[in-house]
Amino acid sequence: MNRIPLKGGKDVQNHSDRFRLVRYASYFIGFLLFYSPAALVLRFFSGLDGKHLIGNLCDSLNLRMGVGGLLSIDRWQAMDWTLGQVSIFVVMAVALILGPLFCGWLCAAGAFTEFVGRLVPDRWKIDVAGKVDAGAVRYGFLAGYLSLPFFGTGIGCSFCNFRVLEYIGLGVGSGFLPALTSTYIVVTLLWLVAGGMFMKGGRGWCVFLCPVGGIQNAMHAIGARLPFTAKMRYRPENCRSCGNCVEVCPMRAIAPAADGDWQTSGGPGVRISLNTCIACAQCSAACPHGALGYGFGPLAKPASATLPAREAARS
Amino acid sequence: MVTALAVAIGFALPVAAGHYGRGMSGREAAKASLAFPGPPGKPVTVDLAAFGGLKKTLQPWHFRIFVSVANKTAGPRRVGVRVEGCALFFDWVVRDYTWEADARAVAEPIPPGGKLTLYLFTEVPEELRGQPIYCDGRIVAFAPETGELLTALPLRVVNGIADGAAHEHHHDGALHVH
Ligand code: SF4
Ligand code: SF4
Repeated sequence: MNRIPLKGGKDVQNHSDRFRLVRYASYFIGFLLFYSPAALVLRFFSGLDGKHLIGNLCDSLNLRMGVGGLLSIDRWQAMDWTLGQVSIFVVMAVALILGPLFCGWLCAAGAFTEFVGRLVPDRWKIDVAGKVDAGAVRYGFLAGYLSLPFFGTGIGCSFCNFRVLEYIGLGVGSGFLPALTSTYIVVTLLWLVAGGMFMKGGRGWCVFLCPVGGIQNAMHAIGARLPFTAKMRYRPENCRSCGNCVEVCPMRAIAPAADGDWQTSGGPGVRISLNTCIACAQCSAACPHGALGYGFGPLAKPASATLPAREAARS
Repeated sequence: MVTALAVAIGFALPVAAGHYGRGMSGREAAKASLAFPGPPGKPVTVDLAAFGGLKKTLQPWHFRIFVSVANKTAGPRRVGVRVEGCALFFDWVVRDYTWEADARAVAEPIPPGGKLTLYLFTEVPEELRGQPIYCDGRIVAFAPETGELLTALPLRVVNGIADGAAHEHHHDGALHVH
């Protein structure tokens, strides 16, 4: 397992590693809740009768489909909402007030590639932190995804990482994995291999290509600017620019505030992108100086949302 | 400028994927829709030669068929499903209903207006791979109590590459062997 070396001694390292295990346990609960063969949520909603076990994620709870239907005129006219379509409103409301907690704590598909990515040494990976405007790509993707009904097409079902994870969970014997279509093969290559194994953090798909994550962060980017909502908060006066948080962030959402190499020179703190942060709090667990934490209240300063937090705090 | 370009690239990705996916899904994941009573469903032809490049490279001999059987009668009906006249061995995954493998039928009745949906999975066995036609049969829905035929549709599985002589490509990419 690829262990990310942290500054601040053994305690910091152990605390961060333990916290990651807690996160993975939470994602595993997400897997049990939403995916076959356990699919506890679906079992609950189908009357605990054991139905909806195989391959029904798509119809019942697939949040991708829920996002895809948000601008569908037909769906609004029919007002015939499935569990997945209703669920996306709940997930969006949570993201507005509490941050993208579905991504940060329940989405097994994102966690799976993050985990698999840790099996590959970091030196073989691309790191997009601070180099690519991930928010712009992912919101562009979200806009394209939402407008697909106007192009007379859709990709909710045929390019679905949730389903591929479900197929993996069901195993080769279920028949789904050996009989993938080209679109699912593309998903597997992008989600698991390119975005998972060979992108630092292991969440390349989440960062760029997940409409469910994109819509949550769109809500979070609005909600986090309100002083009474919950979000990752930054205390710039505590920060020693050690870089631990940058190293451990699976979404590559936290970067040096100045576009430089402050990790070697000692620099002016970090900034968190509200467009990609999933409130997983892994950065907080790796910070030796208590500069980061999840909670209610303003960001370091309300105006610091898109500015380097430390600079905003000084201004 | 860079941000606008990033947004444009992001926007183009799902649109391009949508068109690619639409082209591929009809060719690689066949759908068989049956309903009773009613006219026979649209014949299903799976052509392995029409699969996309990725599929041909990585999983050329495996495919699946999605089958739905709609009960359009006024009452609940138990339904059985089988494939006839086909040398391929299919694995079955039946959704929502308990499947009785011996009877090849669901245990519970399908309510009026309801649908039985299932997946058929298969791998073309090695000994058949050189042939142009792997299956020339039909998918049948029947009443398990009486054996009465409820509805059926023709199912063909072919490989255009293997049949160099008698074939033509249609606009939908499916290959029909005459
Ligand atoms: S910035 Fe922190 S909370 Fe946000 S995604 Fe990265 S590690 Fe998680
Ligand atoms: S917030 Fe500052 S002190 Fe804390 S881990 Fe990040 S760089 Fe280090």
